[in-house]
Amino acid sequence: MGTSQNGQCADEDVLVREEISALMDNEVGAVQIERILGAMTEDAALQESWSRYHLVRDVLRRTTPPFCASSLPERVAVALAARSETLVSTRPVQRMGRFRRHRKGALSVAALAASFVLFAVLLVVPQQTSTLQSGVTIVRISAGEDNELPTVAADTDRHFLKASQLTPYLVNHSEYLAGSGMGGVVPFIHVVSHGD
Amino acid sequence: MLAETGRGTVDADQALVVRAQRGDKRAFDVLVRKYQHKVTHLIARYLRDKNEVVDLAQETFIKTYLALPSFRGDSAFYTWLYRIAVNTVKNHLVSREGRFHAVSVDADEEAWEEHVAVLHDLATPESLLLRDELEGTVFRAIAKLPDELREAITLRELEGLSYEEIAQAMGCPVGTVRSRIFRAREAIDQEIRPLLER
Repeated sequence: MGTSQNGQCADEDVLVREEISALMDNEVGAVQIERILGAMTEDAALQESWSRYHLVRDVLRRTTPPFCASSLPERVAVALAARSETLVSTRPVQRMGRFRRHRKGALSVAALAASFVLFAVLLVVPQQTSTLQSGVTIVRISAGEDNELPTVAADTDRHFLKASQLTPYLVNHSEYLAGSGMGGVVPFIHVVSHGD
Repeated sequence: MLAETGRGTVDADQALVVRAQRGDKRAFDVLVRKYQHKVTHLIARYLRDKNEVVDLAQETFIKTYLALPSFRGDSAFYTWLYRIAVNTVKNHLVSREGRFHAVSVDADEEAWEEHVAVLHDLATPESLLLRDELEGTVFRAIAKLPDELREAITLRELEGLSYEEIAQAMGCPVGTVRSRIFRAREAIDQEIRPLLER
């Protein structure tokens, strides 16, 4: 029984290969083509037969390449599959990407606006002073209204500070201090002067 | 509607292309298997490196697949495929001008043939040996065939006759021609398989 089934399969296989051979020569009908395609999809050996029949034809017609690139069909199939997967998977992402781009743009504008506000606040904030325990006064350098406050930017005060043996670094960099809120940002730059 | 070639048969390429255009990748795979050697042979006339040749052959088939919707069947499929392959090679050679003095992609075919003449037969001795061995095996296998099979396969593959013309020439039914050609192919296939599996 099993032998008979195997024999039947072998006969069918031979018939399909004969149809494949006829397909090479444009000697099959449209219905047969569908059947051959179905059989070849299920059976890699039939695909190989198709390839080798054509290789023989190319040998006879002197169109054989100098080497055999037998993996080419698989490479093409894999590349096309990867391409279609990429297309399928990128479409929703592209749509999402547009949304994200808009959202990102809005966030960037908001962040820029916030930076300007912060910068303006730091510049415009009224000059204040705070007295350290040592009696040294931290002074904010700005074009504020409290001009009567001692500022280390002035040459006279600079001279005075040097005379007071303050750290030259602090003296030289005092102009970068914008306000009391900057202490946490630029912790090492403090402007100092003697309070009255 | 597929044009019939006679006796209810259809042009295989046309039928496969129509199916591939509808998204049937099996049909396109059959076309790739059919033309892989021809396309590789064509590209190998222009390039030395095997990997480069195979890469460009792959690129050619992918371009072909992607362009299938625009193929209207005004020319034979292979004619169209041939143009894609040649343009792919030309573009590749132009893009690497540093290593290869490229001519214009608009240059006619004859100019290109002259231009790449120096690159012909650049295969390695090993690959030439395999090709020679393959050719020798095929011709020996044909020589060993019974007369009726050898005549049928020769008329088909070398003379390019249709089954009907062969039937007339050999004085037998078309079905017999079909069977003889298939048996001849099977016999040759048996001889070359060990060579390809090495």
